[in-house]
Amino acid sequence: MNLSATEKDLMIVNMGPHHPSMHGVLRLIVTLDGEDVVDCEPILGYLHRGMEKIAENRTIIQYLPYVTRWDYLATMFTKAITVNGPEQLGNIQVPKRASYIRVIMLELSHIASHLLWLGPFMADIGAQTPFFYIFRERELVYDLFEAATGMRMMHNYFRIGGVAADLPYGWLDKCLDFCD
Amino acid sequence: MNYGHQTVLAVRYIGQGFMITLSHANRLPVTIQYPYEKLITLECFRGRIHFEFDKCIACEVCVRVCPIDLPIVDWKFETDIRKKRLLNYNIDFRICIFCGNWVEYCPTNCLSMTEEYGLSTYDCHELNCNQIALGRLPMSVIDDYTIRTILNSIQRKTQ
Repeated sequence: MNLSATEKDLMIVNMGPHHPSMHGVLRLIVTLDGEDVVDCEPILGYLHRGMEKIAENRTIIQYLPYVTRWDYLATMFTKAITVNGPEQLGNIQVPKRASYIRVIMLELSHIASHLLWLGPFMADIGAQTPFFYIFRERELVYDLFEAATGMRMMHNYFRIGGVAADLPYGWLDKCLDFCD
Repeated sequence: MNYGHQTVLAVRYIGQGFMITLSHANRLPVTIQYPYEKLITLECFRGRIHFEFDKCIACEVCVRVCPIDLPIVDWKFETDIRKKRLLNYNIDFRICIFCGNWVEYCPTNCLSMTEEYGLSTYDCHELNCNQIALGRLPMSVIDDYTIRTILNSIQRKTQ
């Protein structure tokens, strides 16, 4: 902060870690001049869960559920990166079908994550209703995930060398229905 | 672009946005009245764990695969028959994250995951289940005649 607070009447407001705009925990120390924000200092670290330290004592198959919970909005991406590393190091070939299934799941997570960006973004602008429309669309994605993996969000589906289980019988048709 | 053209474009965009709102009025409701109507979960749903005591060989793979090393396997090596004997098997559902890792890794298939997800109790120590409590069959939602069951939601919502 390079403005001294004794020149003008600047007000320093602490927007504490919890706030009702659903962005997660982020602490902002905001310097205000009337209504204009003059300076803003974010303080990070409120979501630190000690994941690296936990990872020191776990095997890869034990660590995959933790990895799913890193990014709880788009849950497949973190699994993909955790599984891709050992596969490339160990030169493990992934079967083609597993590769395709992974890409479909990742794209569904991509859609779900962008939907969840859009909801609070419009809530910030002022439109509260699309927030609930977004969650309705996300429920459809959750149902697709549940049919394939067993859990709506915290599915640990990827394994080193492929996927945990194959897709059930009518899954592709439901997925195409969703895309329409 | 002249002003009239811009007005027409603006009206069209607003109209498109409004059609989305109106189309939501035609769709079926997503919400279900939970205690009286429940969703039928799929057969691969990862709910409460079911454990068959007789099939377990006390190999402890489940402990090694669990992210939190949760199952407590109490076994004794019987020297006369030269096998392990399982005395007690415990899982604490307060800590379990229902990841389902061990269902793949159990060599005798004595573990599976049922469809129960409502595990809340008044006393949290009731959730520390031993092998008798884990072996009970799940309460099926379909057989419960006080609850109206809703079929697989994808078929409902894409109508």
